[in-house]
Amino acid sequence: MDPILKLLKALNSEIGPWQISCGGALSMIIGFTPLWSVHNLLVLLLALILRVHLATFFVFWGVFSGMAYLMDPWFDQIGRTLLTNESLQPFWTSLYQSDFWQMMHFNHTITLGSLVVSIIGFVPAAILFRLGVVQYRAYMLPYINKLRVVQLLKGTKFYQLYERLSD
Amino acid sequence: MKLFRWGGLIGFVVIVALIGVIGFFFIDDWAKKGIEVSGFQVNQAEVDVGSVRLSLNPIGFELSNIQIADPDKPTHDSVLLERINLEVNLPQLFLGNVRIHDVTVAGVQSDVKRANIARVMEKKPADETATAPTTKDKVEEKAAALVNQLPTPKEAVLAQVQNTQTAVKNAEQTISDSKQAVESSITKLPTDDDLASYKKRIAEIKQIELDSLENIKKSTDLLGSVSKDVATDKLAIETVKRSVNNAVRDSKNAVTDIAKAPGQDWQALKEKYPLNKDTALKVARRLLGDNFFVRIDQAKGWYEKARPWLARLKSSEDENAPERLAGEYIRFPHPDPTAAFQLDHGKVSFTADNWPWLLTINDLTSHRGDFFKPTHLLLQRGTTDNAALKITGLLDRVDGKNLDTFEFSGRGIDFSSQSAELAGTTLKWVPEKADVSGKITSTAGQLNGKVSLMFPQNNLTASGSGATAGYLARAVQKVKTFQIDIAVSGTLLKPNLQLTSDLDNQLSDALAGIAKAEYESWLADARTQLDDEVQRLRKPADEALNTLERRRTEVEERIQRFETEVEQEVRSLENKVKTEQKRLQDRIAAEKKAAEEAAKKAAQDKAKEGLGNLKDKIGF
Repeated sequence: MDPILKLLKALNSEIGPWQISCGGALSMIIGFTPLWSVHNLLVLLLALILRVHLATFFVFWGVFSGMAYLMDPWFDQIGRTLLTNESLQPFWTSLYQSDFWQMMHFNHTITLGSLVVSIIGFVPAAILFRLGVVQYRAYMLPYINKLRVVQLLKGTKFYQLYERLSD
Repeated sequence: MKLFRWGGLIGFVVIVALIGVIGFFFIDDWAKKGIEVSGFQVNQAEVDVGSVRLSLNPIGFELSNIQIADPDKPTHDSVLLERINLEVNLPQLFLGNVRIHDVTVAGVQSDVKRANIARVMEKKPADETATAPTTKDKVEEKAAALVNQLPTPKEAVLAQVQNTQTAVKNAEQTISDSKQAVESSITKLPTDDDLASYKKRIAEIKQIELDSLENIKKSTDLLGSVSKDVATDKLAIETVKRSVNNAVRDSKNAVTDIAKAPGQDWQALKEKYPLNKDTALKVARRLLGDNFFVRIDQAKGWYEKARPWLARLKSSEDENAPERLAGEYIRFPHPDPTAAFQLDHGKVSFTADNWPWLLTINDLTSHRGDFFKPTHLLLQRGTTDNAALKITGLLDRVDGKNLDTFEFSGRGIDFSSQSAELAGTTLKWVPEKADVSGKITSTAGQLNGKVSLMFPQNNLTASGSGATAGYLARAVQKVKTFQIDIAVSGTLLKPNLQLTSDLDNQLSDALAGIAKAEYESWLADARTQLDDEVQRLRKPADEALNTLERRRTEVEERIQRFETEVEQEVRSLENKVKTEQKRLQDRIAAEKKAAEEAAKKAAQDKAKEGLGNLKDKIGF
């Protein structure tokens, strides 16, 4: 519950849109790719040392992990196509000679497919996230605050908890 | 705004370091528990590990006192491993691969009594009922259908004269029917009274003087009456003749069929009790089969115990995969490739049968293919410079198919004494130490190969009472050395073993020579018995046929008498009457002609005289 509340708080606060969107984009990498991959240590490290919004990172990690179950066949197909591509064989073979790259599981079809998709989609995802945050704050937030339901919610314990966290 | 959050970096390093330190201190216990828990699942019975110690130089583990309980006998460990030293490749562990550079297993013992009773996993009821018949059971089943022991000639003949019995029964019925037909026909023949009557009538005819036409006519009338009766009786006689001849002919044919039937019985008897190479081969199989098939069952039992462990080893890659789609690791050429599980060198030494045994394994991998070295196995009994048995294995993958080759060579292999009951005879085999050689290949699970066992000297004895015992004893005495070949086919899980041996041929040759005389003697006795039995069976039929033939002779004699005494007499009389009748008719005709001539002359003379008188009157 806490990360969700924090995400809501971030959306409704003055936290920079890039912080939120970068957290979301990083979570796409760790969510799409198999969890026990070495590169995810790097992603986690980046999420921790860069000033991205951590609550957004953890919430969307779960969301993207769920999506990954559905997209695995596609990742598998992309990874297999790349790994079996004749013109790329020298490249993959040279990587295979290194323990480091083997440790990265680059030769695993789903790992490679999901990593390629998430890296290519990183910048577009970050931009889309940022656009979403800005648009939300500009148009949705005032409208939502005027809603009768929201007015009623503000009188509940849930809102009081939210207020406490805001302090 | 600052870009970095240095506090996060510190937190990351602290967490990773903490995990590493905790792992280092607790990895021994984790490994111990892991082996025991997964071992219990796989073995279906308790697996205990005495201790696990992590060593850093070289990086590896030292396991001691591994007890693998026997699920079928929880009071005992099926295997006890005193010590296992593992040298692992740590970087490959981080790659998710288990690569063991070297493993040494020492102090292997089997069937060791446990200090406490092991926990055993509850078996499903289905497992209890799924007891396939063992090879030995199959051998026993086959043994039950082995060579028919030869019965006594008399027993064999009495059980094998169905054709003769049927033929005799048919003949007796035919002769009986014929007799009835003949007896029925005989009633239609002229009786003695009829014959006397005929004689009386003929005598009466003979008494008539044939001196006048009236008498002749009277005789002719009487003869006509007799001839008519004779013709009627003659017709009856012809019918009787035909009937009797048919009856005798049918009876003779039936008796001829009796003569053919024993030949058929004889052929059937010889087919039922043959003596050929096949029966000799069965004798040899019976003699040797149990020993080998029991050993094969033992080997299959060990394989069944090892199979879940092998299966677990093979599926380690799948079990490491997350719940998501598994994906696939694409492999590329590498000078020293590593599979998910790889054992570079393994050595297991143990003592069994009072011999030191050594098993070495090189390059055992869970993944086999073009990028991996083939696996080399060596199982050796005895020391390297004095190996009594050596089995080498090469597990490779060629053109996408697993190709495994096993070669066997050894000398002085002990085989325990065996004995078998056969046709009331105890066959005992005390084999000398054998030499073994052979090669088996498995291509994509399909086995093909041959293993030969050479027995340089053997003591085969046959004891018991009766002719069969002596018969087998003489045959086995001639066998001194022989070879057994085991042709292997089928699959790894269901191997087919075809046992052949030159013992078969040797026994067959020996049996053929010795048994032939016995068999011929038996056959001669059986032939005599059969002839006697046939003679006994056909005697009533022969007697009935003789009776019938005598009856036919009587009928023919009666017919002969009728023909001689009546028919011929009647014909003779008829001829005589006709002759007399002709003679009389001729005489009457001559007399008539003479009278007419005389009358005519007298008339002419009278006319001439009247004409003379007239001329006289006129000439006056």
